[in-house]
Amino acid sequence: MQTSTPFLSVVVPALNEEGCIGAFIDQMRRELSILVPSWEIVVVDDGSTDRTETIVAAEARADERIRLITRPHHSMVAALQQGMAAAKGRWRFMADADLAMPVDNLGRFLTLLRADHPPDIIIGTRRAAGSQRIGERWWRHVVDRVFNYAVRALAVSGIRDTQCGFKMFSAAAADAVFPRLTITGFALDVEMLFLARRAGLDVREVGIVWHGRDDSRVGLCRGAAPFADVLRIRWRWRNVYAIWAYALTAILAAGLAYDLLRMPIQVFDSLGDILAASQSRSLWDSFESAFGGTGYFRPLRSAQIKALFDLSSGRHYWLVFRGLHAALLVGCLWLFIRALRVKTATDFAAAAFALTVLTGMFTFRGTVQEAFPINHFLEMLVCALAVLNLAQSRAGWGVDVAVCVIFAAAVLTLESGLLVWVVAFAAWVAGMRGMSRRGLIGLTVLLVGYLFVRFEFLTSGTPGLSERSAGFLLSVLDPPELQQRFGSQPHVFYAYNVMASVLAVLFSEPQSGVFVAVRSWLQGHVPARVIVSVAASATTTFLIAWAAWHLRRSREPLDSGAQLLIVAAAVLVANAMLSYAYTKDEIMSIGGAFYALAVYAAVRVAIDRAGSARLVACACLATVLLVAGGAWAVRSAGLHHTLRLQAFRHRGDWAELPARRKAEGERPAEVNRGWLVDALRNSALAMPAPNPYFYPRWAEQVWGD
Amino acid sequence: MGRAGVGRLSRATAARASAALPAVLLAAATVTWLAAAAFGAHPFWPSESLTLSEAAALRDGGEVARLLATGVDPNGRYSIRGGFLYKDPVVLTPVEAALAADRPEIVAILVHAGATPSATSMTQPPR
Repeated sequence: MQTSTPFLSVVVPALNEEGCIGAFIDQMRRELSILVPSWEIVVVDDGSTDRTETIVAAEARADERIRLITRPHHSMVAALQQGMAAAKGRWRFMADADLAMPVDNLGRFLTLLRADHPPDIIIGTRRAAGSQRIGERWWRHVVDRVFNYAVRALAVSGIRDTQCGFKMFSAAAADAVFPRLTITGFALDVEMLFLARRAGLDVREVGIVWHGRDDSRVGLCRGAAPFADVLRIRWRWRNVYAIWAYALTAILAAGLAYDLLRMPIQVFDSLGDILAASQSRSLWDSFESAFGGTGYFRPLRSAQIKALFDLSSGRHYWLVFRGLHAALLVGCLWLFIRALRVKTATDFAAAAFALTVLTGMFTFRGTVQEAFPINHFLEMLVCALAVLNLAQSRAGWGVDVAVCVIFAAAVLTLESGLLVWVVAFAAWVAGMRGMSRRGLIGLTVLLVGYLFVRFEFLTSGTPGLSERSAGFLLSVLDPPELQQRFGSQPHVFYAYNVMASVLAVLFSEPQSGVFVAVRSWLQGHVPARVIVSVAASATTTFLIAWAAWHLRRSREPLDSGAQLLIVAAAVLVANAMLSYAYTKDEIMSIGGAFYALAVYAAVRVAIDRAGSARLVACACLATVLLVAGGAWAVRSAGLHHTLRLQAFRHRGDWAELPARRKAEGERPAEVNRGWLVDALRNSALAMPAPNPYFYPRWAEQVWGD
Repeated sequence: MGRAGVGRLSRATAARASAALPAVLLAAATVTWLAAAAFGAHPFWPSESLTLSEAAALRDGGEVARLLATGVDPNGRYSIRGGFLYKDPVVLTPVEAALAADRPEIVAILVHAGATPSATSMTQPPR
């Protein structure tokens, strides 16, 4: 009797296989003896009515490494579950007895086990390098492909052949997957891989030689049943916590999108670009016009405005520009919640908390409230979150190309697009599996190319002190004051801006470079909104620091929370360095959003620790979460107040435009395009915006500017 | 599950509830006001009907311009409800109301639309 743990168990469900089971055992025994140090073959006879049991029983008597389990006929999945439960091997190989795969292909599976980090599951595939399909009928191939597309779209993305009956599992993976199988039909392989993915197991494919058989289980007569099974799998194993998280996100996004769609297009920093788009002859003209400028190199920005202007067809300006704004906001929140990978109740609670941090953060308010006339900062945030999501997916050429395209689009739109590279690099350092070395090299080549074109070829340079006003300590300095104080040593001012930007995200202070709380305190009155902001930010920053301390001993591969903390820290620092020239809330929007990701990781740690903490410590932690979460929710609700105030201002700006232009002197572009200015103004005036006089007084105290 | 296990579970549940509750309440409030908006109530976007002078007194340039575009006479005298500008209701021209509210940009909108400020309205407070 074999008592020690064999290296490999081969588990074979058998139903009336008398024609091939003997040959299978013979060939497999020979192959195993060559390839692995120790093995067993477990045949589960699922109530065969032919001589299958007799043949296997004879083999088992002759060789103790061959075991027979008999059971009344039920289903293949039940036989597999029983066989896997009885198997003792460190690796467990599920095989069909029909010899559709020659047994010498087993070596291909074992090759992957020799890697430094072997996968949890290796599946044979008829659609990978080295695979070969012999004797397959054309209609079976078509059915197989159609079914695979449905499976990839609905249940298990990225696997080109789920249905091959040869799969190898580590003992832990088999224990995690097989007891939970429920599908008895053709789609049981799909459920197997779906559950493996859900459990976070690493699944890899290996190409095999495969012989088609006319009496195989696959047939057209099965009709829609396998497809229905795939839908059943999705429903049965639905992730309720993820559904709740997406529902919460959808509600918050709908509220904010409603506000955005009631806001006119803004005048300042926007009308000039719309007029320029109306005068541009083509997208390429708009793109090309950005070359040769100084300070900024944003060719895709002008091209995007031109594209949307053309899409407006001379009438629907508000709908197109504000529609894109709302769509970007919804996309941003969707990508954010997707990046959190919510699976458990703890994940949901932390995600809910993080959502209030994201939408309550003043950088997000700065990002959402304005558009020039496209909200490019929000676009950059969407790009950064998209790359993070790709980095969390499975690596491949598609991911590499997508990341490079996103980076190129982002960096040609706004300088903040450089942070896409930082996200990708930090994700790779943190070990996110979707970010490959190949993809990172491609991105870096693009980065170097961009820097060369910008600084060497076009000499666009960087913004200087004379570009705009900027906050410093307790006040805002005009460009002449900045020149006077820092003209000879601008690096001091730049260092202040970097520090101020980091502190602003961590503590909501200073804002736009000005220490508002300190100034208010010196003036003898600190508004409630300042107290709420600083207290909420300081508490969550402390929580992040505490969580980072607990996660510091995470070993490879890093916990997903530790990965998020690493990426968030890198993005925050890089974002602050990019805003060295001047501090502005919306410039730090990406850093602010990644701060919210770090909060998610920190709250998860806090909840996990609360479960094993003493009662008093748990009560303190719960109170801190409740109070801080409440403060962030108040700040998040304030975004609605900000947006309606902004709508009132934009409408007023349009109202004042004719009189102001008359006083300041009309610009040629506005005279030539008077019809366009009138159309935009009439559209803005037609949108009712609530007068701040009717707001409750406390709203200004809690949420005011 | 033993008592210690149950205790751990309930503590984690309390922490989860504390973390999620504010966001859930925020979402509930959002659903409520979106539902109200669907029926025309717009709790966050109230639309109050104003006279031209009231809009000028409340510094609402957008509403002033909209009313002017609909043909409202910029030189007419319109009532202003109590509390908007003064404690009691008054009747003023839009220019007088804008001057009383100290909003030169509203005056500019009105003048651009054809308002003719009288000498008294430009030099004396309305009341």
